[in-house]
Amino acid sequence: MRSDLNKTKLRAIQYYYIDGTFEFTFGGLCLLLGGYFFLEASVPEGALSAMLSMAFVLIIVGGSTILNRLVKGFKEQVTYPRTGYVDSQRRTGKDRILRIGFVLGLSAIIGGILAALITRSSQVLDWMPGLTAFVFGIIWGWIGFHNSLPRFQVIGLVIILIGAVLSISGVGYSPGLSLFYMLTGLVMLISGGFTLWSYLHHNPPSDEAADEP
Amino acid sequence: MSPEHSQFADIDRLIHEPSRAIILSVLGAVESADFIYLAREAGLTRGNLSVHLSKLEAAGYVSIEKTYRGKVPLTLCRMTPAGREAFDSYRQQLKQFVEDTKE
Repeated sequence: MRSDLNKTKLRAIQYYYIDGTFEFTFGGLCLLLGGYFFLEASVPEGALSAMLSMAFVLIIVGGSTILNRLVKGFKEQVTYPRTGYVDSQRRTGKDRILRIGFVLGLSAIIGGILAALITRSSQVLDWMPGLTAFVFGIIWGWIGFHNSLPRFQVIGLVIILIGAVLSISGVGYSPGLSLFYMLTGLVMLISGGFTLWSYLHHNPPSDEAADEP
Repeated sequence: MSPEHSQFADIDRLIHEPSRAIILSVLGAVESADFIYLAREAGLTRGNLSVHLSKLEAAGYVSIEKTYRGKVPLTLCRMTPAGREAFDSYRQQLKQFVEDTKE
């Protein structure tokens, strides 16, 4: 009974990723970042470059807000009418605080290590695509492992591989990050597209419109 | 009736029906679920699910809320604290019965 309940809980969590929209959101954001770093690499130092740096947070926040809205709308129109809606159990109390603390602590450690490395040698900047890929790859791998989603583990590996190739080829900081985010975005969109195709193929629209008991 | 069996005789018969036990086991594992998700996860037809949900709602074990997600109507079902308590007690009784009748 215990394992069955755990499986039900796991399926409710996995359900969030069932239609590939998570990859679309992340992939879209990566493409935006790729565009940002491409502009940063192309624009000469000056007022425009400074403005671009200030726009970074705006791009991230604005981009993710728009993408989240699109995904929400998509789920409401396509996913929920086909396979339903579920809200998985939320972590509460001490468990939630511990998790937030862990994420914040880990971010601070990674940020601190990167800052220390960059101040020691500017050459570290050239390795940023590889370092970013490593962090991203680990996070995706962890999500895949934690939620029993093998495709996320494959994505994690591909991301690390992309970062390693870009760092070894020595394309530099901004062009390297631009290429990294664009390729990562492309991988996400391909994975999301395939997952969505598979989802729509296996879950045709239901003729029974009523969801009422 | 022997004392070890008398406890099983008190079992909640509303829950002691496979479909309703499955519905509660699904709702016990999530925060809330709509009618379509519940029917798929429990492997029940909509008609069947509707009948069992009505009984569980009447007993106060499940709450049903009709709402909207965007423009799409949504019938959200969730287990009430009373339902959780009853389901936990039911599981304990079943477990005890299996223990008591072990060869």
